[in-house]
Amino acid sequence: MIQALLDGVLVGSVVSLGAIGLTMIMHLLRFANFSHAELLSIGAYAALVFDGLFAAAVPAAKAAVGPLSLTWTLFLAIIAAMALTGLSAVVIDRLVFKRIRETAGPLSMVFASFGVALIIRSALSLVFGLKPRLYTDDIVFAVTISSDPQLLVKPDQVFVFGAAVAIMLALHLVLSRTTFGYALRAVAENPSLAQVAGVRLSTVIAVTWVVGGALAGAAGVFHALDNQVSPAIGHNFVLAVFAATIVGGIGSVYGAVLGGFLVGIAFGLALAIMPPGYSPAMPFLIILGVLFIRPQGVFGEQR
Amino acid sequence: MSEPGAVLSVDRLVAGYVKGLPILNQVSLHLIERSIAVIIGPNGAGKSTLIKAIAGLVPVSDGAIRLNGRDITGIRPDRLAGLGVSYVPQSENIFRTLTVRQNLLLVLRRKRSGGRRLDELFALFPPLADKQRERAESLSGGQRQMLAIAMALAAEPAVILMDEPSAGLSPKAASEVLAFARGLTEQGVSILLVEQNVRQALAIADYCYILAEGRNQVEGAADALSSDPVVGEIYLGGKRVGAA
Repeated sequence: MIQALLDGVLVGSVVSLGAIGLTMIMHLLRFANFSHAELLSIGAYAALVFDGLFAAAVPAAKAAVGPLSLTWTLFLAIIAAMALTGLSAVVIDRLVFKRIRETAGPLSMVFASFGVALIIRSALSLVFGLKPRLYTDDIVFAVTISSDPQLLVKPDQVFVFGAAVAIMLALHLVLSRTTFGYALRAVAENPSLAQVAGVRLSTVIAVTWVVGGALAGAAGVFHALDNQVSPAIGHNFVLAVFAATIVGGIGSVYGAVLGGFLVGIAFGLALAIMPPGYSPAMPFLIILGVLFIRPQGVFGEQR
Repeated sequence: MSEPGAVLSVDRLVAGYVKGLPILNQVSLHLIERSIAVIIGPNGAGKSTLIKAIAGLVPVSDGAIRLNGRDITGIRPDRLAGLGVSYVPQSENIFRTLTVRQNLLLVLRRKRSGGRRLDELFALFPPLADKQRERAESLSGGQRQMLAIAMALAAEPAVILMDEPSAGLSPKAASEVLAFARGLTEQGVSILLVEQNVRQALAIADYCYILAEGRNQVEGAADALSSDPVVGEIYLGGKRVGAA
């Protein structure tokens, strides 16, 4: 059971990263973006491509970092993938969502997001094929961190957890200590007043897409690092990130972090106590439970 | 055309929220430097729409808005703040989830002398200095209005547009806010004020515009209008201000 809890926390860190961008966009632009999880797939594949490019350019850097399966080239590729995924999110907004929000309502944007998700998934399948890929063929075994109760953890999982927490802390510092963070929070709370206070709305929206996209990109790589790179990553995570967003309360970054960990832990526990086929239903149950008990989520405000 | 001495001029403005359905029809006004002009009128007259249109929040379909002779019609609200026009909305005029200090720093973020200006504002509004680390949602109604005005002043504006600053305040707090607004003109600020509290507004204003159905109806010096029997009958509850 404790092993399931530990695994859940590790999965939760990835879900949290994915949910932060979703909650920011849902609050700012008032629409449920069902294509957000596909940014995880974009991030995972971008890292695969950058890793190959960096390894070709500097073969010596294709060495593993300490006890991890992660190589120096992949480490750099993660940063490049985050940047590319952030950029992709802005491009998608400019090409699709911006045009729709100028002429139609939020419901049209929700439907458009379903279309965008399908297009991204299909494009990735077309370019990279349906066969799952791995960042490395090296196998890194789990390390026993406790014998009673027996707890196993892979070095890569420790890295993913540490990196995810570090990214979330960095975001917290930006939001709470910088005037740019105040501007992001101000726009989320009252866009008209933020404009009057001298904040350029279009800049904040673009930056929110970049930040949300970059975090989703990191989440995609972190998930694939311990699993596989496949076009289905986004599809597999879409409900989990939505559940995390709803649990935390739409618009709350800290809520998305908490929600991500709760969803991850619920996943882990479900795998331990229920037949494997039932665990995908956990996000649905969590969403329903939260909507019944506290519709605004843990950190959300009553509307 | 700009009136001599006018810092802000609105010339035959047509504006509304929905295209083809204007709320304001050919509205004109002038705000003289270091003065207060008050806009009064019945509910639905277009007072708040006028002030929002000047602030860039309501689309303008015709007419012109000039700041010191420069055409600022249709300029984005965030740019207007930089040009010297601050707007204090009637409600939801502070960021509740930010602290008092963060609210002010948000406006001051592009100012080189932001730290000095922050100290000046806290000196001007001591209750805000005492609560600078608290979330703005913890402030009382009067303190919130104080913070909203401080945010407007932070940008060191030439013009402040105030939409019913006394709304929801106790009579004492309302008087203090309006008296404070009067004091600001002595520091070089010009104020365009929308106010339901007509008697108090006329007492502190230099000039008054009366709107009805989105059009200019009457205008004149505030003291003259406040003692005008016709205006008193229609807009001041049937009694002349100062009447025995």
